[in-house]
Formats: sequence, structure tokens, C-alpha cells
Amino acid sequence: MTKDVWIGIALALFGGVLLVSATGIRRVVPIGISPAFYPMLLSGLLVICGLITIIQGFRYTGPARLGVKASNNLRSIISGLAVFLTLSAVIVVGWQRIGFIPVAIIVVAFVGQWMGARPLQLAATAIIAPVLFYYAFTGLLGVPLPRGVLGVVLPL
Amino acid sequence: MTENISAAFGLLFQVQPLIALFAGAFFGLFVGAIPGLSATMATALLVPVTFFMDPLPAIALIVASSAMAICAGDIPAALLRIPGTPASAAYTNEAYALTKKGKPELALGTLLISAAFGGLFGSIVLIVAAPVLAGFAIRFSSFEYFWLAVLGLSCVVLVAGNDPLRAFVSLLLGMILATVGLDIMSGQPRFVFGIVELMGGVSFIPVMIGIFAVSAIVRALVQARTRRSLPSPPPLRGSVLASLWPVFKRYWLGLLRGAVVGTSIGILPGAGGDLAAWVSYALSKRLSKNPEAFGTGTPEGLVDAGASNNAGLSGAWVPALVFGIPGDSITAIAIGVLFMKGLNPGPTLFTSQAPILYAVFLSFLLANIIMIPLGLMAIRVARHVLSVPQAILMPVILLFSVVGAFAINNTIFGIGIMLVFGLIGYLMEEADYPVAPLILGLILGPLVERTFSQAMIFARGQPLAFFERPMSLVLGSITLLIWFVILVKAVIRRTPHKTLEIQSDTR
Repeated sequence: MTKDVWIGIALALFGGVLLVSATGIRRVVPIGISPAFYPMLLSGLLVICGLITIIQGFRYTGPARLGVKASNNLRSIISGLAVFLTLSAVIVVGWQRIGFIPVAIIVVAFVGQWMGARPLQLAATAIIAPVLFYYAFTGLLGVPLPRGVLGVVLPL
Repeated sequence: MTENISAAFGLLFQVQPLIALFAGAFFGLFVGAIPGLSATMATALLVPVTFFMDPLPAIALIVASSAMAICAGDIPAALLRIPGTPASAAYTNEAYALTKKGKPELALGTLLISAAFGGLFGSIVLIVAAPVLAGFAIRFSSFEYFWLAVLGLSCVVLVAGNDPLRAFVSLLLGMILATVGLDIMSGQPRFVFGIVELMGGVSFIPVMIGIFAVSAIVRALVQARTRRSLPSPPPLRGSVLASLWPVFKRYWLGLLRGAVVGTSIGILPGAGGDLAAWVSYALSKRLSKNPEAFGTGTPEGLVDAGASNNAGLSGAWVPALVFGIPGDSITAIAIGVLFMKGLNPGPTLFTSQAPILYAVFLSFLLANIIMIPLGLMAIRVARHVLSVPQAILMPVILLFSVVGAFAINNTIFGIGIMLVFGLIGYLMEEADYPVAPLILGLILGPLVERTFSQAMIFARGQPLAFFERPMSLVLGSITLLIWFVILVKAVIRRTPHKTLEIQSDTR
């Protein structure tokens, strides 16, 4: 099966879930269009587009298209996405628990290391960038970035 | 009008707006010159900063950064054959061919002056046309606004790539996203799935940052082990401006044509500078007395296309300011900023906030004037900018994105939305689904729904009322015509496939 078939299945399923969810919206309103009308219309169109994509995928007779561009191979895609998901988990879980600066140091060090930065450059960036961001956004713009474990040493 | 212009001078020529303009210009030059980072990304990254600024400096920041980023994208295109932004892709080979001939100064100078001229031309059209259109649009009702919004969305599908179905799917996803949260008319929750944070809807800023900035980081992570480092750009020895006079004396008509074509295409919703540059380059080649020289390093195509992409950028602001309908992804983001700052785009903006609006117009002119000295400076320091390693740049951009998404509501939820849409943006681009329609669907979706509901109430449920007023009849007919063209395009797209298949089968 080509990538279009898989994408079409995903779109049709997603549209179907939304369509079912949209049927649960209360439809009777005193005046005007029901709030369910527009979501149902859009979800229904998405299901139709998904089905057309599936048909296009089955009718395609050219060279195999597996969804991987020539510049990337499957292994690099999986490993790159795994790194991104790990980073996302670190950010979301660590944001309030350990605070902005430690999370930022981990993120910069991890991404830089993965992308092959020079150790000295990376060490400097991993320390300087988070501290600069913290003071710029909390001091100048008043954004309350979480202090976390550094709450004792960082000024309010 | 004179009063508004003099008031606008007073507003713009103050410390804060000027600092914002220059800061945006430097930021745009830096981001644009780095391959892989786009002008839209520069704009999306700046939105959280504009949150803390007054309306005029916020818009001036966006205007200057986007104009400079588009212009700076030409630098790696000419020196390394790698377009800095997608808008430079149309003429990258031409510019690099000139560099290979030993004339990088000529390529860069031609592109810089053309970009500044195109930007100024587009700005003047914006200043002249927008108030006239606004005077006309003030008589529009829900019917006309409904058709305008649908027309805008239809144009996005029409011009976004070769596959209308993919663009339409992207558009649908954006419009569905716009329905999340409490319905304004009835107060009913839609697609919230029990998540309290979704009751207020999906904030567009984390979505923008995710789609345009984080997706680039995901791509960099995926390509980290296969990406080769950028080659060293060739040194610049001569003056950038020295040899330009004969070029512009010879190709002045192309310069003007590029600016006109760029502005016209820019006004079309969803088209933007990228398409304008491709069209202008192709037109220049077709109308040239010497078409065989194209691709071998002639400045003729560069003049047209260089003027066109920056003119397209200014042109895109016409529908954005007059109707609230974005011309491209950058103006889609800018519309969000305008709403955030209480400057709701539309014809009433031209009467209620005229001095600020004219100050925004002046910031367009100023940004395109300072483009020449700052662009010359950027060309001189290009070697250093291009030597900043991606391995250092990408984590810093990720930090900027995370802090920016958090700063909108000071909640981790914004960061989560940004990360999710970073992944979605990457997957969509990998699967050849354009992301611009998603953003335009997100911005225009609520307008379509609101105006449709209002119009149906006025029409007492009679659909034919959508064609009764003269202007709504015209707009509705154009919209239906566009959908006819989209369908014909889809059919034609499939026909040559079959022919090729038959030919290959018979061999």
C-alpha cells in the first residue's frame, strides 16, 4: 500500500471520530444555525477527503511511495522523532518540577549533542542561553518562568 | 488624510517604534540569511515578544523582520545555492550561476535593489489602494464578508501546490481547529473532549510557533546525522553597488513588471511572495529577448523575481488590513497580532485608528528604505552569519519557542500545543501537505462560520439570499468559478498521468 492509503485511512478515521463527537453537540438553539452544523460539515468533508485519498492511493501505479523522502531514511526519521518526543516529555514533565533553567540546560545540551555541536561551544551555550532567556523574560517582560529547584538562589 | 499622515509621522518617529523597527530588521536579516529558517518562522517567533509591546511598535517589528528576512534569504541563495527562505528558491540557480561566473556582488546587489524597489512599490500600492477599498468595503454586509472569506479560502486551495485535495485537507484541519472551544453564538462546547483548557479554544500563537518554528527543529533533529555542514561562501571583493546602474538601466521594465506582478499576486489570499517570485521569473524568461541566457547567470530574471517577492509581501497586507483576510502566512500571523492589540482589521480600522494605520504604512516605507544600507551590511557579514553552526542555533530557537508559547497565557498547556503542532507540521510537510492553508483556515474559519450564521438569520434560512445583493452575487460567482477551476485542474492533473502510464506500458 502507498503512503496515500495510510494517510487516507488516518484522515477518514480522524474525521469519523470528530463526526461522532459533533453529533453529541446540543443542536437546538433559539435562533440561527445549530452549533453542531459547522463541525459536522467539516468533519464529514474530512471523511470524504480521506476516502478520496484512499482511492487515489489504490489507483496510483507509479513507483512505490512509502512516505519517506529521499533525503531521509526511515532510521533517521525514527531516531529524530524519538529525540523530539523525549525532549517534549522532559519539557512538559520538568517545567514546574525542576524549573526553567535546569530544563533549558538539558534541552540545549541534548539537542546540541545530538546535532554534533563542539563540546566547548555547546557547554557555553547550554549555560549562557538559559540564564539569558530567564533574565530577559522574567526581568524585562515579566513572564513568570518557573524557578523550580533553583528557587533558593534565583531572585523573585 | 494630511492630518493622519502628520500624526502618523509623530507616532512612528519616536524611540520605541524606531527601536522595534531596527530590532525587527536585524532579527529578520539574521533569520532570513540562515538556510532552513523562513520569514514566517521569524514572524512567528516574534509574536510572543509583541505581546508586551504597544500596537505600533509590535506591527513595525513584524513588518521590518518579514521584509528583511525575505531579502536576506537571497544571500545564501546567491553565495551557496541554498535559498535562505522559500521565496528565494525561484531564482537561486540564476543567482548562483552569476556567483560561479565570479560576480557574486552583481547577483547580491541586483537582488537587494530589486527587493527594496519591489517593497516600496508594494507599500505605495498598499497606501493608495487600501483606503479606497476600505471606503468601498464599509458598505459590505455579512453576505459579502461570507463570500470574501470563502473566496480567500478558495484561493488558498487554488494556488497551494499541484494537489488541490491536499491543500483542502490542510484547510479543513485548520477550520476544524478553529471550532474547538465554546461556540460564541450558543455557548455550547465543541471538540473539547473534557479538557478544560480547550474551552477557550486553541490559541493561534502556539500553533503558529509549532507549525513554523518547531517543525524546522524536528526536521533538523531528523537530518542531524545526514546533514552536511554548509560550504564556505566565496569572498566578496568588489563593491556591491558599483556595477548595478547598467543592469537597472537595461532592465527597468522588468523591475516595474516584477513589482506589479508581485503586488497583484500578493493581494490574492494564500499566494504570497513565493508564488510571485516563481511567476515573475517565468514571465521574465518568456518575455525576454534573450531567453536562452536564463539559467546561465543573467541578472534579467533576478530583477523581475527579486522585485516581485518583496512586492508580494506588501501586497498581502491589502486584504489583511481592509477585509481581515490574510494574503499569506505572515499576514495571517500579523492579523492575530492586530486582534491581540485591539486593532481589529477591517474597513472601520481606517476611520477609528487612522493615525496608527498610517504610521504602519510609513513603517513599510521606512523598512524598505533601510533595507538597502542594512542589506549591504548583511552581505558584508554574510560569511560570519552563515558560519553559525545549526547545532547551536536550533536549541536556542527551541528555547525561544518554548518560552514564547509559555508567555502567552503563562501555562504549560501552550507549550504542549506548540510541541504537538511542531510534530504535525513536520509530518504534514513530509507527506507533501502544505501548512499555509491550515493557518489560513484557523484564522478565517471563525469568520466564515460567524458571517454564515448572521447571513442565514438575515435571510430567514433562504440560501438564494446569498446571491441577491450585487456585490455578493459577484463575489459568490467568482468563488464558484474558482471551485470550477480547482475541479478542472484536478481532472487535468490526473489526465497526463494516465497518458504517461500508457506510454510507458507500450515501451
